[in-house]
Amino acid sequence: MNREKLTLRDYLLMALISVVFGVFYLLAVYAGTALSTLLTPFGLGVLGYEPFYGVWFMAAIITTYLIRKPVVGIITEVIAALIEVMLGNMFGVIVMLSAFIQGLGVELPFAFTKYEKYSYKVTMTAAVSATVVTFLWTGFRSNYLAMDWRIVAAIFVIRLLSSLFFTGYLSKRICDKLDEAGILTYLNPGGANE
Amino acid sequence: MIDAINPTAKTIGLLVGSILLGVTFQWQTNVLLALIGFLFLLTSNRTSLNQLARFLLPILLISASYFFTGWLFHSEENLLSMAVDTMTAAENPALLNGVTLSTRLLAFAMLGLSFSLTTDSNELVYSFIQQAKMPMKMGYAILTALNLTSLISQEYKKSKLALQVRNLPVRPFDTKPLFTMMVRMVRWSDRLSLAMESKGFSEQRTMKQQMKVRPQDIVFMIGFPLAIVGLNLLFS
Amino acid sequence: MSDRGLSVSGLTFQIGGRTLFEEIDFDIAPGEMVLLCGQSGNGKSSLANVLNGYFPENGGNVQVRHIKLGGKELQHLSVQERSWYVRTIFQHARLSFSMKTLREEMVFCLENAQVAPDEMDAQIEEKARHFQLTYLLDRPFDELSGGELQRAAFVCADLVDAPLYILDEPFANLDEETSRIYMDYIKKLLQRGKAMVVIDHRLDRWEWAERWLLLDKQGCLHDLSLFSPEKKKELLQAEGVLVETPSVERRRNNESQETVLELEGVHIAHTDVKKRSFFRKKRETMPLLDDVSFSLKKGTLAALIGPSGKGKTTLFKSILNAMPYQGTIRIGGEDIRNLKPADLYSKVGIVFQDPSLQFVQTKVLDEMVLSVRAWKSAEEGREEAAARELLLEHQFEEQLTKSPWLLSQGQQRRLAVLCMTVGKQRLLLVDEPTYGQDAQNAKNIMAKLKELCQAGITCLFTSHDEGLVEAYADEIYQLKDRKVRKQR
Ligand SMILES: Nc1ncnc2c1ncn2[C@@H]1O[C@H](COP(=O)(O)OP(=O)(O)OP(=O)(O)O)[C@@H](O)[C@H]1O
Ligand SMILES: Nc1ncnc2c1ncn2[C@@H]1O[C@H](COP(=O)(O)OP(=O)(O)OP(=O)(O)O)[C@@H](O)[C@H]1O
Ligand SMILES: [Mg+2]
Ligand SMILES: [Mg+2]
Repeated sequence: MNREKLTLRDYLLMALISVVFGVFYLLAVYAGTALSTLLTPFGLGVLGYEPFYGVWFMAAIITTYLIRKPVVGIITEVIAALIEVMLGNMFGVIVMLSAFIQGLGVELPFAFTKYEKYSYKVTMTAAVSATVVTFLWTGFRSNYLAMDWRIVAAIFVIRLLSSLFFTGYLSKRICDKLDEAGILTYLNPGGANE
Repeated sequence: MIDAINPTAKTIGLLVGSILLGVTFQWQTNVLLALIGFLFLLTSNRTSLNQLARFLLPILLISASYFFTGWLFHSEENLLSMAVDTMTAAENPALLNGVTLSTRLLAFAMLGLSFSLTTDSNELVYSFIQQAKMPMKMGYAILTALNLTSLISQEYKKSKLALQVRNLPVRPFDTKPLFTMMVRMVRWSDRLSLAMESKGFSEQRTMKQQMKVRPQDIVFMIGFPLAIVGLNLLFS
Repeated sequence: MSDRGLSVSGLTFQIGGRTLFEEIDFDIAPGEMVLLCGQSGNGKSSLANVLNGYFPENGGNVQVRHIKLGGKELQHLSVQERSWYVRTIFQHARLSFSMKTLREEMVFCLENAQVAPDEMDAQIEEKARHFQLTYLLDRPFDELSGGELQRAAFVCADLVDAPLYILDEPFANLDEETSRIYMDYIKKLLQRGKAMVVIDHRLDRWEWAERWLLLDKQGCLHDLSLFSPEKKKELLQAEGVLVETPSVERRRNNESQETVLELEGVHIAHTDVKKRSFFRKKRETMPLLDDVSFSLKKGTLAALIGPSGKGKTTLFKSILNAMPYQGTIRIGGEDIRNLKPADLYSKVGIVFQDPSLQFVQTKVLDEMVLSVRAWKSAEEGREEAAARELLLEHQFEEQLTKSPWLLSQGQQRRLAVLCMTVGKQRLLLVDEPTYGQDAQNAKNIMAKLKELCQAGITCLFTSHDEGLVEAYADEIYQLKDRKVRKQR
């Protein structure tokens, strides 16, 4: 495990990637709102955001892969939330708590491998653990107990699929490509983290 | 008045308040909290009615979608327990379920907005550094990234155009421009950190703007969550 | 050796399995300016980064007897500790600012130097007045032109007293007029006894500098002031840093009468949408071009020149229909508004100022295959062979499997041009093709464009290098006071 302290460059990378995803998130928010509106008359509006849920974990998993130090995932999500709030996210400070939980969910599997393995197996596990952890949290926040179990199950399944796609697959593919492009030497001088 | 509250105190107060809201199941508390949030926003100098309206629209929409879900897809046990709990709910328990869910969301959103629309980003970061022990590096990295937002979105557009010109159409959620952006961000973080450090940036520095904690900040931080508890007791 | 200036002795640096320079020694006295020149990619910026402490902290292998400044040994200090001694001004000025405005940035610098907060305002005002930049203090960096950004970087560097300055290509992207103002700043600093290292590819600007240092291909450093003028010239030419003024005959190629690009009464204005947040916006209109009309005939190599920040890049975007405009733009007689994007892009290609923006693959060959496939310019199944042929034809044989992101800027630009021309485009727009290139490379790139034009492509390029434009362009258009005038 790389126990070196986070450097200024690490923090900057986390913050910059958060801003990039801020733009991307906005896309997801628009798509989600549109879908929610469509589904509202059927009472299925709550499902609108679920297909895009995995997008919210992408920044954390990408920075974890790029920096390879502990707590990077959590810090990234918190920074991303702060930046979103500053740019006008409507859920304000509570998203910081959500962010912490999302980051934790993404990061757990990496912690178990001591931040040494970055295979599809680990990223897919991260997708699952992020889904489970955030499901518990949004369940508390939106009081899933007050909803029909079938809709709650639908929330879970759709979120899981979205997370597997965006977090487990897409993020890993982007990162592998970055590695292949040879630009990560800048982050790991001497290739100590191969 | 909410503008002047120390950002760290405001964060803690609203955060704890939001968590307490999570264990609140009375629509009356929800409505009152939403109103308080609205009041905060009205009295703030940092936001205008116009702006507020633009935010409220999507919120009302989402709130409505929760109403329909809660109404049409309620859970049986929950209704049962609710009917026993709240004897007043003689009307339609399913409708009440919808109202509770949607006002809950509304309250969350109003509290959220009264944070994000009334807080200055520089002040927030300075306060986190000075009062909440946020690492200096993290704080300034956040400010730097925020200040580069418009440059980043320009670059994003440019990289999309660059692809289109090569006859590679860009679909929504396409990862190609995202990949190009990631490469750039890796490089930028390198350059920026060099630029900042060669300007002498480190943990040892003075800060011109000092964020203070005054008694009214403490009052807000503790008083706001207490008020929610109070409301809860009142309506149960 | 002066005890107050910079003294470097026995410096060797390796990175990525390459030795960039070996056992070099040099001294710089206070008040002295040194120009550091050499081929692109041979390690000038790396030398600057060894001096300011970025290397070896961030990779690479540095061996050195000493780096002394005013008698103090620097080699063991970090970037931040060295900031008291060395100030660097980087090429991409925008990315050296972390705050929103110049005033905030200056406060940031003073805080780093642990200046007492109540003294800051006075110091900032006084510095800004000294450099006549008071009007910039509260304008967001996002709104400043390239030249203004460079000047702002300068004031920030001068805020805290440091004995050594390093300027890495300070004038890339600046027009001659702005660079003259800037040059005056440099002279002011020298008078105050600072030592200065300037890295630049354009030698003509620095005739007045007492000392030139040349970093050669073998990684040796030559002090050119020790040689006779002839020997000096010979050395510079051997390194490709200086080339004979190219005498390309500006023969109008096969006198084609066919008009490729036509602009008629084009107005462009920036509707500046200031993003306060994702939702909150403010609009402001800023006219850039007024009633611009000109046309280009087939096979012309035309230059678009003019001060920085006046709308050259923006005009290019309009020709790609990616920036709103009024008036008419026609390509080969067809109004671009009536063309579908794919059709338009099959007629017009663009190479951006920063060519790396255009790559998406991890191998040069794949990048080319992608373009060939996108344009269907080879039969199915033969794309890879066609791409390989094209690359071999253009001296990329050693880079086929290399990552395009790791190519030098010059190679990146050549690759981008190559990718652009597989669609048999008729018009090629090239933004600052020779930016940051040594003279030899610049010549090669321009020769390539010339060759394309002789083969029937029409090419419009921007440049701040007057000599180069003079030598290569068939036609010159100048953008000034929101008008475009034909100069030649
Ligand atoms: N972190 C790194 N890892 C591997 N190679 C590097 C790294 N940084 C620089 N190089 C290599 O070192 C060489 C010198 O780069 P440098 O930027 O110092 O050149 P330069 O002389 O400033 O060129 P230019 O005139 O184009 O700016 C290049 O070939 C580059 O690929
Ligand atoms: N997206 C934008 N929004 C608002 N203003 C912009 C935008 N892009 C550029 N500008 C402004 O428009 C002006 C023209 O910019 P442009 O990049 O076209 O100049 P240029 O002539 O290419 O300059 P240079 O020679 O420095 O490359 C500049 O003042 C710039 O600040
Ligand atoms: Mg360089
Ligand atoms: Mg330009």
